[in-house]
Amino acid sequence: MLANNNLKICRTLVRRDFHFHPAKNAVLALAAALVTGLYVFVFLLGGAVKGAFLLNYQYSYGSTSHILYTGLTEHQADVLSQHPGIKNTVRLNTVGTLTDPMIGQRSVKLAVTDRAYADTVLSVPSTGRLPEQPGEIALDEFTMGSLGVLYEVGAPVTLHWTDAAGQAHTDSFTLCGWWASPTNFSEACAWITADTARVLIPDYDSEDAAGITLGVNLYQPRDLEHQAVQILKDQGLPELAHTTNLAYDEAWIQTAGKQAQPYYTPAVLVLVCGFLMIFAIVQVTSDRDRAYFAGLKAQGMTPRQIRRYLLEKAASVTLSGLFPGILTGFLLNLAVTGRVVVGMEENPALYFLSWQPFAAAAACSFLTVSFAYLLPSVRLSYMTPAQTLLPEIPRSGHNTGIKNGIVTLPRLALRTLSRSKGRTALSAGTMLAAVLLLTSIWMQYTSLQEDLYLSALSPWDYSIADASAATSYQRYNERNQGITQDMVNELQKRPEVLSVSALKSREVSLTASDQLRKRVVDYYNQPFDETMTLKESQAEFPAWTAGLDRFSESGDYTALVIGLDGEYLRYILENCPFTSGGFDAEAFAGGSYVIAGGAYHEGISCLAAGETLELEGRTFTVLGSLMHDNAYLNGSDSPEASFTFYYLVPLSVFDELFPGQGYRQLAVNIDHSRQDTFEEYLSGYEQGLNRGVSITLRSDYQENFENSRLNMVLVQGIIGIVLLGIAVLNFINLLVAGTVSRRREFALYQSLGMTSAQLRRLMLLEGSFYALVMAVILIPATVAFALGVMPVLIKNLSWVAVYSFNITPLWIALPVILILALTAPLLCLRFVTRGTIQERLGIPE
Amino acid sequence: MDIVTIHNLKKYFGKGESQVKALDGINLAIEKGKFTAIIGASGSGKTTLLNMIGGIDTPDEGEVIVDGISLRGMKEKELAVFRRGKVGFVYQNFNLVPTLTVKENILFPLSLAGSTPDPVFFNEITELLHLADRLNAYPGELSGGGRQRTAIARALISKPSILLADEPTGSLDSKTGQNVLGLLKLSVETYHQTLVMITHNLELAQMADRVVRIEDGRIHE
Repeated sequence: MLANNNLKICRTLVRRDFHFHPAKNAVLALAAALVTGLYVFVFLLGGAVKGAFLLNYQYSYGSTSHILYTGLTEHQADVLSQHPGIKNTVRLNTVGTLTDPMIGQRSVKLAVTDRAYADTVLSVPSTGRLPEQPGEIALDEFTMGSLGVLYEVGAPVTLHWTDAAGQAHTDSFTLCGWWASPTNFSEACAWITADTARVLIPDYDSEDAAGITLGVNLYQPRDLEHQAVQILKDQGLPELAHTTNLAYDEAWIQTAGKQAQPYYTPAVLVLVCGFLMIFAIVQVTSDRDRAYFAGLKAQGMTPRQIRRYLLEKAASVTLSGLFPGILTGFLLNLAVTGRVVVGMEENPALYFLSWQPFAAAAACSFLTVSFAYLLPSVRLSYMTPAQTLLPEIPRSGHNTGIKNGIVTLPRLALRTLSRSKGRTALSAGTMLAAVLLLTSIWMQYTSLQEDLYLSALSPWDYSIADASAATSYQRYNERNQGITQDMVNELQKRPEVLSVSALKSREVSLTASDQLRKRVVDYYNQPFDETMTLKESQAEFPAWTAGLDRFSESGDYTALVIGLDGEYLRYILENCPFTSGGFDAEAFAGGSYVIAGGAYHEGISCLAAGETLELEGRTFTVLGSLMHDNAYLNGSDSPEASFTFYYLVPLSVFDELFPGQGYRQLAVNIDHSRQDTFEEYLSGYEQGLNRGVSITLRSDYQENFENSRLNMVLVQGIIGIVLLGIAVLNFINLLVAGTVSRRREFALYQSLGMTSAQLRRLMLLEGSFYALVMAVILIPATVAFALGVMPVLIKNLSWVAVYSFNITPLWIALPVILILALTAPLLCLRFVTRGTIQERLGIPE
Repeated sequence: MDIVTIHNLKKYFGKGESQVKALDGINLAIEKGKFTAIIGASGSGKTTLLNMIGGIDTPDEGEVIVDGISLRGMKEKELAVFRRGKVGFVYQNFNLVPTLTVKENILFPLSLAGSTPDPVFFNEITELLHLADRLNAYPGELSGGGRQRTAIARALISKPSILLADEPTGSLDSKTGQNVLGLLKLSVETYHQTLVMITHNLELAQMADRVVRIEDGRIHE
């Protein structure tokens, strides 16, 4: 016998279903839209986070080009550019490299302006312009800060630089523009015109000069290293120095994918939540659907046709919700992604927009809706029509019924509750999952303490540093006068300010006594662990090792004299344990004592208490030695001071020793209630300066903290709220279905003499029992979860997390559940009991 | 003596041209303790009339008096109390509560009224209707006959003045139908009750003391 495989009929049936049950299908389409929206949001956010990581790699690389070939001649650059695999190229003609010691660890190339190249390395002036006239130069703000260049177009700039041949030069220029760029932390370009370059090095662009850097963009930016080598081979060029963009490296792409993975994980929750939601809606009419299937089967519909029918229905529902879902997800992405991916000028939600997340979301939505349709119906599709129609009747057991047979309203309500065990369990399970998830998120969120974060990352409210000490890549320029005494005085007079603490530093060359030299050499030769000595453990820092070797041989070293007061001194005393002697405030302020700082390791690695030291012709006695933690110092010091001893003196003594020395940094504490006005003042003050200062705001830390805190819970929080919404909908669904589906039953009760008041009481009782069931499940489970699981989770969450018992989501959910349980059935009852008993009993005339 | 008196009873469904006159001026008196069968074609108004007598539906015009009580102007709560005490219903499709056992179903009207059942009477009914050994079963576990016997027991338990049965054998095979009707008749005779039954089956109608025929909402005896 031939099976009936006409599948076209399925589409007709689906169309008719949409036509005859518009309300139900509209609700399903809305649910599908919500599911699609969540998928779109999760995938877009995940994509944006991955993109942001890749962009960060690109910033680290310093260029948007796929490959950078360096040290090319004009001819080699031309030959390379002609390779068919190359989409376009940009060129940089390097004249030399800045070698001013104040540049620190950064690499700054003196190069001829090329607008296209400047674009690829994000180094186009935001103030002023690129050089056009001979003698003009454009710089990045870090370089300007290090060199103490004024923030004024036309400001003089003197540079020490070295050409490709290794010859040192010192030349003067005029500043024509500057910029701040995320790619310039470690590398930058100083732009000059070609004419200026010819004046500096007449043959800088000769055919033999190998000063060209070629930025290459490929048609297929994959496996860059292999392509870089292949291009050289194809063009018949020898092996030339090149680097490839990290953002296109497979390994880095995988790493970015892994880092973005937590943002994709909520898609699993969307799948579960979406399934539950759609399943619950489908189940409202399960009895009617069962009869419908029985009818279809009786007409000869095969299981395959039923599956096809359900799949087409799922596809139709998904399609109906697709556009609104995509719109919802996109808007959600627009609102949220900017809070997750921070630090970009462009809106990351738009910057990283691509079509793939939408396609993936549509596919996942269809899968979710299909699951919700197919899973409950698989069993039905293999049953005979008669089996399909068999009602799920209660079966009698040992203790069936009440002995005296009298059914009170509470008992009747209980029986009703037991009739929908499956749906009640589903609703309670979903609600429990939502409440537990939200409790977990809420407890994590509230456990993260801003005070702890601020006290650890910013021991004081504001840090104001000299521009040459803005980053750890920069070397503090002792000649700078970015922070003046006037500035300190003005700050101290501000009504919001509680204290202004200042710090100055100066590198001085000293020679150690034999006693100190032996102590220190022995100290660093002590075992660090079973495999190496303390000195060997610092092998990764060659400048430090060279300094120690110099010290070991001659006793010569570069010491860092630090003058400090207020918060800086308090920081030292709180965070740097003494290894000899101790602190005596009176003696320290007296001006004859220093505190000696050595390595942050047990034991005395510098001068000890009672020993003496000569600084600028004055003799100081060491008050105590300590394990020096230099985390409070902004910027870095010279390579010579990599191996150093710190000598801490009061600021007044420092000024006596080194008169005229500028401030390295300030620490400002304010009345927190006046933070806004103070930051407004600071912002205006900074804009009014013609020199760079690096200001770290308390609100920056607060914003960072709030962003990090929000990031930790945002995506899960949104999913949790949606899950709660679904759980509440499920619960309403349970209550509504439990009332609406009993129209005939209520009519029967009334025909047997039940009054409307009794019917309302029955509804209230049923609602109360539902609420009670929820409470009995939710309260112990949530309390146990909060007491048993959360402490461990929070302990491992973060160093700023402090556990506290807080189950607010439960206390919010329970009243909502109670109100819904009491009102929803009563509201439905009004509609259900409309019409005469005869009509509702379905008695035909 | 008449237990039911009906004066000029009218009931219309719908409006305008599509209006259906379910009952179009019915006047009827039903004698106490007698078995009255109401017959008529589908849509003739039989069930509407039965529902008016039972206080399940209200007329547009006219009056129904049951056991001396006029149902005119009764509020829903009063009608519910009336149904609970004065009327017992037996439906073609049984209308049992599936989540209650046979015993609980039978006692359900008393449960609603908060009345204490008479155990002797309860035992008598359940013995009479052959339900004594199935009291803890659920309706879904009974045969069609068993379900209808349970419905009859439920109708009898509050000792109503009048039993209203709407095609009580309609869902049963002829043999079971005969048995059920026999039991129904026996019950009302035993407890001196009045039985009003709707049926399509003329053979069953012959068992009644009086047969009332309805056509287009009017009585034709």
